Amino acid sequence: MNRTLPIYLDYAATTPVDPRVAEAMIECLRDVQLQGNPSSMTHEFGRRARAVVEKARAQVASAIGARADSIIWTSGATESNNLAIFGAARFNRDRGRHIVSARTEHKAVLDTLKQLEAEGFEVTYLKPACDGIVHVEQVSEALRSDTQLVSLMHVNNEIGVVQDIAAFGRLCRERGVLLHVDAAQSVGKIPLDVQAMNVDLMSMTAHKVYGPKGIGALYVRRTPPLGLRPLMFGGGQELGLRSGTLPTHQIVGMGLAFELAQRELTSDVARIKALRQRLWDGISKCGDVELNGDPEQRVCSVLNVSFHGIEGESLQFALSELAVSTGSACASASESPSYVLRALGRSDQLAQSSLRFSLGRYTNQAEIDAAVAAINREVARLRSLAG
Amino acid sequence: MRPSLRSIARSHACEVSLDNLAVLPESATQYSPDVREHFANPRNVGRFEDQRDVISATAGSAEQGAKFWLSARIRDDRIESVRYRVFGCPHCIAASSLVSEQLIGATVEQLSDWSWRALADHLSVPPEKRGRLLILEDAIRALAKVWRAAP
Repeated sequence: MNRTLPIYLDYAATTPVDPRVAEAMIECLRDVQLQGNPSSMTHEFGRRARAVVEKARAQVASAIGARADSIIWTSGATESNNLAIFGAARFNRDRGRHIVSARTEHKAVLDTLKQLEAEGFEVTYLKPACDGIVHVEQVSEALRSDTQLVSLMHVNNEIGVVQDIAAFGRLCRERGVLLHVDAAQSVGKIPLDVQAMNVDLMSMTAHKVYGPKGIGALYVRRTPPLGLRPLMFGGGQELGLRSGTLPTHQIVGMGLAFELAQRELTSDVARIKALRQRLWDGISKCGDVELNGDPEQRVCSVLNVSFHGIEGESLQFALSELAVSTGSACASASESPSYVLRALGRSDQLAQSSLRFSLGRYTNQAEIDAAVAAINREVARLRSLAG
Repeated sequence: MRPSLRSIARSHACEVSLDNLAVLPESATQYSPDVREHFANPRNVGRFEDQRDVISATAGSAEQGAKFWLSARIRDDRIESVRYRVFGCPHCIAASSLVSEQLIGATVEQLSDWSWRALADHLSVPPEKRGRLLILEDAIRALAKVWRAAP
């Protein structure tokens, strides 16, 4: 069977592994000197494995302006979100049981908060404006004397809008409330500095930054130190916050991926942004389309578009030559329309007729032009069927 | 009795995400060869101008997920040809296209008795989507009513 693969425009779901990262990981797996358990400090194999783990920790820390010892390895952003939110809320439960978040957060945050509500916590879910932006005044108004944690994402995974984390950070620091940021979608696309932004906890993952799946990290502020209750118990790795043998090759992959993301950020962003503009210009020619989320305050790579007068499933099937997403990858294929677009005030029907296009390091102009041609052709065809 | 995995999931606060994983409808993304063919090349799309020998009817809405506009030309008490417009999923588009061929030669009685079931089987329409074929059935039966009422 010789089927042509679709054009990949789903980088926000996951990115391909950068060949340089894959090389480094393979090298790590092959190198007998690195076969030891990074926690086995009694012999050379363990110490060498530990050294590459620590190098990667420094690479990740450097990409977000943090100290290396503030990085905790996890299995990905979902675990990081769980560890940050459960960890902080349960550790500080005597300080207050109120948490502030937003309706448009990732499920890994929302479902964690839902579980905390079952444990007796109270959560205020802010409703963003119709452009997807959460304003600092909303956060300020929601804070109470018993608020102990604010959890807000940096870049929204479905619509790509960027929240003003520095403003949230200033506010939370002033009010003595912890700030957790889900930054899964922002590393490598927006310069990050946890110190300048006054972030206390930040979730990251490798597989959205051209690294491997199955590895992530949580930034945990060290000065002044911040307490978390672990989710995993066992060997006491990662300062006791996350027990479990460290996956050396995964960590090496994440470290290099983050270093490359930081080093190539400026050129990647400029190129991807120009391609995204080209895609939007092309899609706009269909007419009766709407961009979801603020047009300016957005990440370079994501375009979420609602198509009027077309049923969503037919649109997706008609565009099967494009690998795109309806909402977030974990949510698509379920019948319910995107809760993010619903929170922005889109009708069920329009939310269902929306597609997320996300571009990345390997997207090229020929792909964008082919995508634009397919979209214009199929949108016109489906609309003509409906009269 | 041991509780089922689903009931454990239900009793858990994170029911929604677990349920989503459990019921990812494979059928929603998989279409039979007939659906694919009619979706790619729908037959008889369009609308007949209002004339004495033309009847037309609609059913559904975008909010319901499907809308059908049907018009048919009648000759010697039988349907000579059908045109339609459709807003809906690939199954709805394929169903309209197939129906536009199958109804040729039908009498008003056959139109009144038309049922979605055979079409659902023919196109392997998954159970969760059968409500949309009922909308098509409504449109066809409405067409029969218009026909009976026609002078």
